[in-house]
Amino acid sequence: MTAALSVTALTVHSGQRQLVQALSFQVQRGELLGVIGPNGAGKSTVIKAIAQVQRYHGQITLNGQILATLPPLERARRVAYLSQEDALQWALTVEDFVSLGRYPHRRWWSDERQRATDHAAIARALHVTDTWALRQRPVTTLSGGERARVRLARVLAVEAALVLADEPLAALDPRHQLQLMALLQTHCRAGISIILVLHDLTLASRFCDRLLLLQHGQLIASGAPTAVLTAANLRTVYGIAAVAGEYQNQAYLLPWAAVDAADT
Amino acid sequence: MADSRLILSSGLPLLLLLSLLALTIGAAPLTYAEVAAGLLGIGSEEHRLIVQQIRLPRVLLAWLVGAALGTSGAALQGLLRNPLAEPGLLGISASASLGAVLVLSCGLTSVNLWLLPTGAMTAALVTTTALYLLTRQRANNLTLILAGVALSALASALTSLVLNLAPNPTDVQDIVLWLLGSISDRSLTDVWLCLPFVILGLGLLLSCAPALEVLALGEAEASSLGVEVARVRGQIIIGVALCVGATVAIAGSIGFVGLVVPHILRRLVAQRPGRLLWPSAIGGAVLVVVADVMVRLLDTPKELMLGVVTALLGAPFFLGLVLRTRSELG
Repeated sequence: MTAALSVTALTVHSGQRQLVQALSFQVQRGELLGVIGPNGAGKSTVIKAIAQVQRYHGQITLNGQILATLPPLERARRVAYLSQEDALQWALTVEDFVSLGRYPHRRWWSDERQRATDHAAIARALHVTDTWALRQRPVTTLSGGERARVRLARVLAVEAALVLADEPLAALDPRHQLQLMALLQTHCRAGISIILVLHDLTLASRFCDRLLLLQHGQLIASGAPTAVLTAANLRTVYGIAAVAGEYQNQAYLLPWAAVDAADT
Repeated sequence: MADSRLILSSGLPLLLLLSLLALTIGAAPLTYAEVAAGLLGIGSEEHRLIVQQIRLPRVLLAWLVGAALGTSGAALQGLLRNPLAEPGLLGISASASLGAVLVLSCGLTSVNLWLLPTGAMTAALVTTTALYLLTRQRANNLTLILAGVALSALASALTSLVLNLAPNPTDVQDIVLWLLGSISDRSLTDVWLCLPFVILGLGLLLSCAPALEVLALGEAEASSLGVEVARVRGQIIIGVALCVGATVAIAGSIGFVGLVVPHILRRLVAQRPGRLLWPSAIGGAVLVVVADVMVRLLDTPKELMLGVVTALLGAPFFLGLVLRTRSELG
């Protein structure tokens, strides 16, 4: 596999504070990468930098092209970003909301074929996120879980090669969390790379191809979930002990108790 | 798209009809035929004078003021993602007034007529920029309104100071009356004095429509979708300053148009902030023409000032809106 995304020496400052320090990693085409770490580890900052909505030092390339130098619309067609905060104020319908994801594809002239492509992409995004039935509803009347899925549909409607999502699972019930992770996995199999910030270690260990464990803006470990979520890492970084097991030939992890990190 | 087209295709004829009606009303009632003749310059000398010199500037100013304020309100609401944003409430109009009062009381209008709109627009630009900087971190209703109240108070205080120090008391009376906001007794020169700025400002605002749609998602996601947020923000700030500054310089402050018009029309465009701009321009013009006709039809001992009427109607409307969004303010 070729590295789709390559991040080299990523450093982010906020005033005097270093939020991310000289972080380097790669994401393969079709890979689902989970970014994990305790609060304040710099997870959101990393994906904001990749989305080019945060100032940074270092170099980020996608398929060999430097993201920072691409024209904004061109970049936006390749990298889609879902932020942690839901900022919507207006009661747009779900369909109008999801159609905003097609903004980077717009042309100056009205083009029948482009409109058909947009329509198809919006319909696909609504279907896979199980929100097709909601398409005429105002977004402001949805439940937290419905809204989270609609926001994801907006991101998928971009049909970008790289999807960045900052805690998309936070408001979802277990069924929709599992469905959504399975959905993201399917998208990866189709060749899309996804970087996901998440807190749920059980889901991270079960669904992600690879994990990036951050603490204080530094890379602690990266690799397959079982290699990253070791008892030692969990204790020193998170201050927890976990139950590790295997079910249907798949490793799983269950956070169990808070422990004193200094015990070691 | 169908929605905004419908509003435009029904709004424009409505505006023209109302404007024609407005041309017939006044101290000397005219028939439609006399108005048409006056407009074309083929009627009697008297009718031509009344229509072209007195009533036409008034109607044209109503269009400009209404379109400028309606669009400014809609654009600010879209940018700040807040339905309570409005040039009057946010102190932009008050600052423009301050700029104009400074120019007037220093007697600079005799140096150059264009200094009046320039002063008002500059002051409006400073305030709009300050407002944006004050609210960019937390775009909630409370911060926004408080920032607007503070800037409004500052501008009013400085205006009072200028009036207080003014050497000539008759000047002061003129300025105070002008501050109330009116489009009566204006000439075509006044129309030309604000027309270029309003057109330029409207152009800047209306061209932001597609980006405003995406800004509904918040600045970070909009930027990730390829919207150049800094450019759009600058364009809206300058557009609002041009629109509000130029119209305030000619007509004084006419409040609440930018609040009421987008609010009424928002549901008709499925709440899409970009699609709201054009309809708000037409709707604003319709509202000001109607309000100005009302002012002339009301049998008051002295003709009411347009700004007084819009404030009397707009303030309760604003109060209602605040009560409805009260939960968010807390």
